[in-house]
Amino acid sequence: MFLAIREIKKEKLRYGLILTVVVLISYLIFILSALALGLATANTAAVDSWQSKSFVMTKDANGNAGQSLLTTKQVDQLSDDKTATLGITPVNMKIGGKRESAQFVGMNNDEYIAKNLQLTKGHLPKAANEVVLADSVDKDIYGMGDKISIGLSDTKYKIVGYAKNATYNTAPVIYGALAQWRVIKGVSDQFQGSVVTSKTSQSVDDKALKTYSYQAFINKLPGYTPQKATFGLMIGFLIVISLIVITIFLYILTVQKLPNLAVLRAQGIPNRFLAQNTLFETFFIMATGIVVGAVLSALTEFGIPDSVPMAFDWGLMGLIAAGLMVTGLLGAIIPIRVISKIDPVSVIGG
Amino acid sequence: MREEKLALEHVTKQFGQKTNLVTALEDVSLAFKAGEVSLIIGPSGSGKSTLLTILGGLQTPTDGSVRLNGHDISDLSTKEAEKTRLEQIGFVLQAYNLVPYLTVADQFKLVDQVKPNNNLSQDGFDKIIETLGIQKLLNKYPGELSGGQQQRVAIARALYTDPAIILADEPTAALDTARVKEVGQLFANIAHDEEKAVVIVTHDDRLREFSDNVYKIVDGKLSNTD
Repeated sequence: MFLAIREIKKEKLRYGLILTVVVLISYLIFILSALALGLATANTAAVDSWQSKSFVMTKDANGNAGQSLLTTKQVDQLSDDKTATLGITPVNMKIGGKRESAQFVGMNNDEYIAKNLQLTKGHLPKAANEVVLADSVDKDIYGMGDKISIGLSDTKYKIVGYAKNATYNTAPVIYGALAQWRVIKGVSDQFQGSVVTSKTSQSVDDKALKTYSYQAFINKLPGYTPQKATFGLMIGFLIVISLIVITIFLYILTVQKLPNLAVLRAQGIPNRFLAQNTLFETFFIMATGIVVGAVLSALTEFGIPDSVPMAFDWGLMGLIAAGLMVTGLLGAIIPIRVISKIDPVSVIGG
Repeated sequence: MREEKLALEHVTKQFGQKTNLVTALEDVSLAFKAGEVSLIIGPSGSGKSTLLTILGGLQTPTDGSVRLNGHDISDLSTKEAEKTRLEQIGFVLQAYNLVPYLTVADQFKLVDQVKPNNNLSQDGFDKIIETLGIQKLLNKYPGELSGGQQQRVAIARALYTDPAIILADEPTAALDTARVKEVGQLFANIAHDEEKAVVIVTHDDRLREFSDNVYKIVDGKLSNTD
């Protein structure tokens, strides 16, 4: 620590440059993680808010609720007091000249999903032409009491409330009456909904149906898994790059100091002392870089437009920071090995 | 009778094997005593640096033994050799003696970090830095010092652990005649006043006038020139 602190203090430019690189890498990793989490949340927020353990759909829908059509008979067979039937379909909602993609979720007010819905304003739809919109919509456009057109329905739907955590597959959710789902989607009376969710696990005998767990349902959301994998790969590559960068920097710094280190070894300064200093140097660079990167990321959140989904989870950030720290310290292995191999004889004579 | 500090007995050092075998030192025996400056002079490749590394416990002899304060140090482990160098030997080298990012004062504090005890007392330290004329350099970095100033700091650093022996490798190689005299006198004073055994390996004949013994080494064989 003694040598490391003084070296960093003396060689401000050199260490400043290394620190800048670590700050930029950690900043990029944090921002990417926040974007990945933001996107994941925008995909799953509504599903998470339903607090359901299982989802039953038609097998042919391949896990895509928007493609599933459950008959009245199937719904009747699946329903009990712990289930809720939902009619989910992607739609366009229109008001004035504005048009926006959304997900319509039809529900029964006497089932648990409607009962648990967290409203930030207004009340649940009471009439067939009433809807609750995601709280994230622009309220200057979709104001309380305004009337909107949805999908294929000719009805004008009145906005009677806003719901918290109401995005599905990155689109805002419109909660309305289950009976309206048929009208909006344009399907016949024989279909009662697209998915039956339950607070418990469900098993089905009907071979035309399939049960999905919460995670399986999420993973089947269109585009969700590839998005997650892409971000995961980018973050992984950045962590590996940070490992390589810190190794290269520390290696070059160590090689430049070899004659001095050899003299110190000749003078009897223990190898352990020199290795500990390198380790502390690495810890200092990584810790400072990570903290500055995290602060910059948090500041960036204020400047990012609302249309860009970004979410910070301090637990996840802490894990990523720990990962970066570990890779940084791993990067010190090669320089420490170089130090341990220094031959003090090399600085004597010549 | 002066106390023997460091001695070589029939030391041979060979490198390589069979047809590539090189004998750097051949049956060298000599002793260094407290209060004396011993000069080892020889041309490049004569074996004088090998001799210094064996004296300092940086290499072990192929044959023979090395005694430091009466103890055999010919076969110490790396850790033991490190401890011996730190506690009993002061090295002054031609270059890179000082850590470039430490101030002169910190060069001594570094020693305190790894060897907190039995270093010079504050009075002893003050005396040394006064003798060496480096009191006003304590807050400077090595890069801000002249070659002579750097060597004086290096000598003070070597003395700080209060070693029994000072081993110097070409300490005047980069210095002009005035500085050589200054450094030579310093070594003589250290040996005579502090009762240290000072061993200097050098090409530099100008240091002869400050030495008590001069040994010549040629092709690994030692001869006394006095």
